[in-house]
Amino acid sequence: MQRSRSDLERALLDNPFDRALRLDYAALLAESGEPEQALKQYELLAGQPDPPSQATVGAARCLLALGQKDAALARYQDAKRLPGFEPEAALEALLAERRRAEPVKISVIPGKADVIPIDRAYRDKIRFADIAGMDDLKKTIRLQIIEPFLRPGLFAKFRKRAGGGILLYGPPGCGKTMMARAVATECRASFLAIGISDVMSMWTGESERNLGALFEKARSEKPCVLFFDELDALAFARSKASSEHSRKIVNEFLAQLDGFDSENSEVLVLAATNMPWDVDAAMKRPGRFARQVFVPPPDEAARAHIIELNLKDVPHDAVDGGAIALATQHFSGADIAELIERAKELVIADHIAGQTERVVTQADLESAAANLKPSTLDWLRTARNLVKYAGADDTYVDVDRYLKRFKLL
Amino acid sequence: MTDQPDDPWVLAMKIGGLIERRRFDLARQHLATALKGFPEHPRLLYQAAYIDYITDRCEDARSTLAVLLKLDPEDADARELLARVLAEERQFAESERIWIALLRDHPQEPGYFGGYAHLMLKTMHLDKARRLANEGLRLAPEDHDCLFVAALCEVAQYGGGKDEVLIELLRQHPDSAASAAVLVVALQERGDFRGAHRVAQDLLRAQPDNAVYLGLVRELRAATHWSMWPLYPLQRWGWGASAAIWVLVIGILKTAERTVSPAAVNAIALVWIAYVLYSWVWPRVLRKLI
Repeated sequence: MQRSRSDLERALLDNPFDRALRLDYAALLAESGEPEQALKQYELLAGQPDPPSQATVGAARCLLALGQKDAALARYQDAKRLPGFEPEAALEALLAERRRAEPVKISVIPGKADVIPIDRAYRDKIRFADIAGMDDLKKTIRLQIIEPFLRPGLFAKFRKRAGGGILLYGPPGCGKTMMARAVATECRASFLAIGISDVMSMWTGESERNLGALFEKARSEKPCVLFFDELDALAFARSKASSEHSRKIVNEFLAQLDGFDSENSEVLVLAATNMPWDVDAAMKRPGRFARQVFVPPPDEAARAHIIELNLKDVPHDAVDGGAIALATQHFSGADIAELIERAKELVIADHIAGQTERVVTQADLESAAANLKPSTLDWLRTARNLVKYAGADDTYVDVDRYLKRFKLL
Repeated sequence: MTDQPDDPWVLAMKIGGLIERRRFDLARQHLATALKGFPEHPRLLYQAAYIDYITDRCEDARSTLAVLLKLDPEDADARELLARVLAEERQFAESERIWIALLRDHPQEPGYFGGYAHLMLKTMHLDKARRLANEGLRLAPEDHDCLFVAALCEVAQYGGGKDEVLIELLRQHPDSAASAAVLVVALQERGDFRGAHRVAQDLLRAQPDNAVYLGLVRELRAATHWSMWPLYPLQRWGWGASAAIWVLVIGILKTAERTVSPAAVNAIALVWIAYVLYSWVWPRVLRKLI
């Protein structure tokens, strides 16, 4: 027997996490001609870990009823990846109609003005060998990103999925962007990087068209690594977004990632973020950024290398890089650069105070290290809240391991 | 609208995007540059004040709003923000004066009823808060602020027994953080600490750097810890349960004095003292441990 609306509402208040109840409630709202309210309920379900496919299909149906065809199709594509998916006639028809209406494009880059500025200066510059330490991370990236890209046949043979994008996340200043550049070099691919200023341009004007043109550009330069820095700025969680424009950009981004109009093979989509919890949940589904790689603060070997690099043109004594590396646990690359700056300041201050001119010494570096707190601790504390208190899913298992290893949990 | 670097509205739109994403430091940098070019632009000034308000720099927010209101004393957005800033600084009378003036100038604006109701809620004038929220809901039945205040008043008044407004809030705004926060309070009132804990975890997952949510989750985690089960009646029914247990134990002790040996009476009294100490000390210790 079907329950009444008020029964369902009361039952949901008692059991807000009962998915079946919420699905029934959403279906009831949709049937009662309230697609907007029904959509909110479906979205609530779809935003949870392992969402039921009925919720995503339901959301697509509501969007269609509200006349938002593009968003409905993006949602429907999303649903297709979920277990238990059952096709919906109206949406299948719309999908077929859309495919017929938009033939494969060869190149639609209209002109320079419509393409977002890209940064290609780093092509072929950074290789994995140039990045000291971080061996575990490099091994993971090689297995999960580079090899599937270079040898798709091998992965297909073992029925190992090779497609989709990869999201690098971790504290700021710990080399996510550098890793992405190194990945492009190792993949022998062009590198298109989209930074925060490019994203900000998308918040005004025709952002959807700009985003589309960007993907088109990447497809025209195959093989290509398309890198989105600060992904959370572009794919900000729709549940947190207050503007319709932000939601539209995410919908368009999802459609582009799904290769809605065109083929995305040989285009490796990489992204980085300091705030993975702000990235829209739909972005992390299979075929999109399903693989998420934690980029921790540099390890000891990496820190020693960064110290060496930062001291390169600085007059200094013989420095025990290993000892300084030991004293700078959890320091990011930027923190180490700051450490060297502070050591230099100590030398200059002595010089101004009338002492004899001298170079940077081990003692200066140790003193600077003792007075600096790693900037990554704030991020690690936030991640700890997520892992320890918020009941986060498997996404953050590497963070969990890192925090346990350094007794930060 | 074309994307011209010298268009202050385009700059404001970009800065708005940064604010929406809580990138306040970057937004401040962009604002500093934009305000150099357009020092009297109302939207940019408002955004500068808003960021200061959100990041607990109320004094800076107030001085920016003073500039803005000098340029246009009728600017409703600026007045509304000033009312919120003043409330944050606990200048409640001043804040109320602004809300009343706003409502006098814009009597059909439900948002101002919601804002004023918020202030009344903050100062524990529950009845007035409810009436203001209801007035706002009469004008706009879906208004988020009014629903939020009315739902909280409902929970405070009926202790989770009557949930009409809460249900409406959850129907209209099921994914808003404020709705989830009211739901946590309602579930706590019903004694469903596990449910409240799960909802609070959802809130923290969405915003793991939010100290309020973290505190809430820790508190509820402690409340649902197995070692708190003996204290469930006290958690669920508060002082009422405490008084009832005292009466019960005194009754038991009186009866025991007549029926069992003095050693048994002492044992019961000792167990009771241990329970009282446990109920005083352990929750505090547990909250620290968790």
